[in-house]
Amino acid sequence: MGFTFIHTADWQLGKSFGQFPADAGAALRRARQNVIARIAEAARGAGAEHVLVAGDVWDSAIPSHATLRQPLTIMGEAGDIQWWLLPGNHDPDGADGLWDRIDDVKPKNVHTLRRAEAFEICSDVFLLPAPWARIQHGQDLTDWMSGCETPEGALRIGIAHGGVRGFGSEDNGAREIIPPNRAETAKLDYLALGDWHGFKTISPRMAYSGTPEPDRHKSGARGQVLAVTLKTGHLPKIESLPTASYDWPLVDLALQPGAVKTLTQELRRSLETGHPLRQTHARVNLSGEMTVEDWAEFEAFLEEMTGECASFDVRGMSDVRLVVVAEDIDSLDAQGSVRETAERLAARSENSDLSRGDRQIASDALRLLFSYASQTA
Amino acid sequence: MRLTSICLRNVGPFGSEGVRLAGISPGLNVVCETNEFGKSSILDALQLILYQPFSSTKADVKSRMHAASTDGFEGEIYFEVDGRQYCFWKRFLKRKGARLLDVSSGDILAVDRTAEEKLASLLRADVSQKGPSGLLWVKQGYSMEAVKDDGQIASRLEGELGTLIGGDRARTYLTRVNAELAEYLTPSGQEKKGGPLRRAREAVAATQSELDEALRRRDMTASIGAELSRVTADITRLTQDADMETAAQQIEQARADMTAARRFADSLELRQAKSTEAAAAAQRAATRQAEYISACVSFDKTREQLGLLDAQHEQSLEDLKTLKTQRTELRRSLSENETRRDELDRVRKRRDEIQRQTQRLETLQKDQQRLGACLEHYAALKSKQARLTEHLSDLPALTRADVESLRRAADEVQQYDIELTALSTPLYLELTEAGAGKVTLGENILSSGPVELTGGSALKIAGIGEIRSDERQLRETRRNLDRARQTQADLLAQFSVSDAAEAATIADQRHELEESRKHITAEMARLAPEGLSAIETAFHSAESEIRDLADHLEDTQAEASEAEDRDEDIDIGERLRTERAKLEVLDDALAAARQTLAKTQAEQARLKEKLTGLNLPRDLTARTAGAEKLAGETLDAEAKARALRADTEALKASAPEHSLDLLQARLTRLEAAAETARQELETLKTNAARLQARREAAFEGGDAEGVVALLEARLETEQDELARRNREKDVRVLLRDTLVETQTRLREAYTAPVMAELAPLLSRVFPGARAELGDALGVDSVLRQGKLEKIAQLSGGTQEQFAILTRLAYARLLARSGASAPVILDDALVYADDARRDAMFDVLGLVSSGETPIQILYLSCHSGATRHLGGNRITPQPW
Repeated sequence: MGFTFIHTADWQLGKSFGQFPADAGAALRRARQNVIARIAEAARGAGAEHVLVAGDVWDSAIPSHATLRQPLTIMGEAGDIQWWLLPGNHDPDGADGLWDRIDDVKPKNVHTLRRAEAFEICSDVFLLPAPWARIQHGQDLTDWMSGCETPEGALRIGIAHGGVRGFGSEDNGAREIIPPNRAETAKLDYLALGDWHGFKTISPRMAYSGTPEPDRHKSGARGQVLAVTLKTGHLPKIESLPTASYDWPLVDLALQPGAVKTLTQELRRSLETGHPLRQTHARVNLSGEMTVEDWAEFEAFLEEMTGECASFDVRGMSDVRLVVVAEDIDSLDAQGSVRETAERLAARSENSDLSRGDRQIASDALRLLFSYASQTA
Repeated sequence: MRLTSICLRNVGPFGSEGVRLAGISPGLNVVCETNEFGKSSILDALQLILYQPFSSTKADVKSRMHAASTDGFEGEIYFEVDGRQYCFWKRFLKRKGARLLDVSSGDILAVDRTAEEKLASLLRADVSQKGPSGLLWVKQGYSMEAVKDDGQIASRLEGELGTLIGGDRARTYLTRVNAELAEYLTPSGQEKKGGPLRRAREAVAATQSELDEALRRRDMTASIGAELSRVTADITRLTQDADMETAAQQIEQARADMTAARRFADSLELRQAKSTEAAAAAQRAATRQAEYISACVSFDKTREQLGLLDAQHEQSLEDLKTLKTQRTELRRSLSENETRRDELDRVRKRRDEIQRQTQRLETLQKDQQRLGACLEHYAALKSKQARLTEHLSDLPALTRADVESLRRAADEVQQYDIELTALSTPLYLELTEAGAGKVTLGENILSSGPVELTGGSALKIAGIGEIRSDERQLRETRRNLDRARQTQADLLAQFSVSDAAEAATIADQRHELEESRKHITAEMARLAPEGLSAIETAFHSAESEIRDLADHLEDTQAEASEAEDRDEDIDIGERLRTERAKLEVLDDALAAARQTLAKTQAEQARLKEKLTGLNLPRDLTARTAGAEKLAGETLDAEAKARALRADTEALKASAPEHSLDLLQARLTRLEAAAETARQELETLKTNAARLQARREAAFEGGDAEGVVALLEARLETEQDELARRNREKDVRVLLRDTLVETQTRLREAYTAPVMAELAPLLSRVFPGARAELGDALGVDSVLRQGKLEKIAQLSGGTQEQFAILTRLAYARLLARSGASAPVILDDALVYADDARRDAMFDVLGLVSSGETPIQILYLSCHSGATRHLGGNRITPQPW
């Protein structure tokens, strides 16, 4: 009979999402709060009584009362679940007094892990936390775990937040400090990690759960918690349970002349595989080149996706090269100044003596001319 | 396209019988009919048939229907394109339709819409347009309007010319991009208020401002938390501090120690006061004893000093007297010596006088000698001068100029003599025997033969006479020679010389003598510049002064010698200096002696007063008894003081561990520390409460960190938007500028051939004028006689003439490119004066003839005027 618990992290409650319109941002903030109830459901489904949140429960160390209390209330409503909260780099147990405030109002089934010492969360199951006391600590907070004694045969579960050396972190490696063999050196049955917003396994006994509700565009990140089952003498059994209500796909789209329609159709199909488009915040990084005809096609696609998706963020539009052939200029159905204008702009967009910015402006001006022509026709 | 025939029915005034204009030539055609005949209707109908779809039911079609007609209005146009004859038929409204036929074969090429499209293709026109009415077809009353490109003709021209300014499409694009740019920028290029660019920029600024405020609030919230933590920690530290209890105990102990110490201090102070008093009494007794002894010693010493001073006083008086005597003696000697010194000074002055007079005498003697020598030299010079004057008076008065005159006279004689000799006369002498030896020439006896008789010679014939040549030049030369010889003789006689050489010698001698005399005269003048008498006077004056001076010197020297005899060999000055120094020393000694005497007297007075002040008995025994009494009193007082001091020291040995001061300082410190801790705790608690309240208030609002993040994200989005708007603006500016640039360039290229066509036509009507075309392809301005005028400023008639000439230029251009189009003028040139009208008629005649004639259809109601036009007259017939 093993011990099963839920490993999650990086809820970052109260995150603002200011890049979106106010209503979309509010919906995303609500989604981050609502996912707590789904996590409780997932825990029940997995037969887990304990949920371990490995840091960054809140997005800030100075949340408002509402941002602080409402999630605690939701956790309190799931009274059959024990919630173990670890301070992370976003919500450190520091001078701001956040965790004092939490302790003041938290329900009974919510436990704060503010000290680096073993907690026996149930019989023969010990939790070894590595809480953050300030935004930057500059040391390996899991170091103490190696010297921590627990009864023979008891399960030892480490819970920490930050980057693992050689595996990256959310701030481009600046916090890569946890040794990748910490589970072995501290004789941990499992080390539950937070900080990385995607699900990532470091070793059979070390994993990042990722965030349960994604908050940024990440390739392949869909939002989940991990149901981890520990049994003495066995490797942990880790199961990913989806919890997110929004998808945040990040797609690189290399455009090719004449193939734009096919590529955009494929992209649409790909996006439709997850949540409905209205719950999809997609970002597309464009590259390659398009013909005049492709542009019209692509702009129609953009219009369509912008309307259907929660958000459809297209980057690199100006990097896409406009391929203009003689027939395109002929198709302007004009001679004289219109034709010469098109030819001049086309030449300017290819002129290597000009800056990249000036070339792109010329290319856009040419595209605008074609746009006028198509609308006039 | 060239029209050959136009047939119309049920249009305008033409009913079912219709109207037909047949026989239209490729050149100038004139239709002259009265008003209301229907000429304008013909033009309108032609335009509708060629360019309006047969299916059209528009008002402009309906309005041209014949009023009484029940059938639709129809027309049949015969025309030629590229040498092929076509017939295009169209009917509107009822039984409507269109048809295009090949006239030569009679084949129907197309019907209805296809026929219209085919026609448009033949005419190179867009069927959607209404035809080139504005450009080449001029309706009645519109001939004054300048040419306006409606896009149709331009599109036809561009294909032939290969150039185009863009027509409607380019204008549409330019209008659109300008309209879009107007959303971003003002006409002056500034960002437009309320425009997307300005809005984006304002949004960025506003958000930045909000962000700054949010950052401030976030930092404030965070700092409140941090401050609260610090304060709470301090409160905890102070509250839990174990030292606070210890401090209270220490304060109590210190207070008890203070009480005991204060009691001891009071006892000690009393004991010390008594001891101090006893010590003071002993000290006072000792002092009195010491003072008495000291007074006695002083009394004895003073009396001794007073005795010495009395002796000194006597000695000082004696010294003063001696010094006074010495000074009197010295003063007398000094006075005598000063008298002698004055006398010696006078002798010394007399000697100096003698020396100066002796020097003067020597000088005078030297001057007298010099003047004597001068007088002798002067006398010698004067004698020599007299001799020279006498010698000169013996010589003839000849100058070198005179010698020159003599030489010139001799030269002249010699010259004429040579000339005379040179002038010879050849003779041939034939002597008889009798005559032999009788003829001589000079010293030579001549015989028969040739003889050269020179000018100066004569052939002497003995017994007969002489033969001379009497040739004119010879005669003249001989006269000159005689005259020259006379002149020479006169000069020689005048100067009493025999020849010029003698005269030269005499002249040289005179010159040398005169030079010597000048030199002597100059020397005499140098010796006696003021005359000899001045030298003589000076000489005698010196002589007299020498004599006087010698007498005076002799007397003075005698006096001096006498004085010298009296003079002692003593340096009076040295003696005076010595005696004066001695006198000074004596004076100083006297002053010192007086001062010593005064000091002695003062000291005597002081000592006497001191003795009086000591107030001691003069008797030694009495003074000794007083001293012994005082010594006994002192011993008693000192014994008492020692006993009290011993008691005090004994009390000090039993003193507490810490001094009262130390205990007081400790108590003060402990109480202050306790008060500080209490106040600090109070302050911290107040601060904590205040911070707690502020933090609670801050947390009641939104997430400070979240607001910052939100605003940062919004700012990034708005900055992106601003960049995007800027880019949109830049894109449109570039498109606009490129369109305008290309239009400008092409317009210039496009109008160049038109201008080339227009220029010769213009010169026929307006000699020397030049026109500029505007954007609408019409004449914009005219340059005449160096003056640039806008076309709108010209008279109506002139504007009309320019407009027609421009149309003709375009028509010629089309004709040359093989896309000929007819020019239709309806009641044109009605504003032209006779001369201009004739000139315009000439132009119409010109362009409608030649290799590429333009087809012109001239519709008019002025039969008189059109009489001068010529051309092919067409009379409308029923159709």
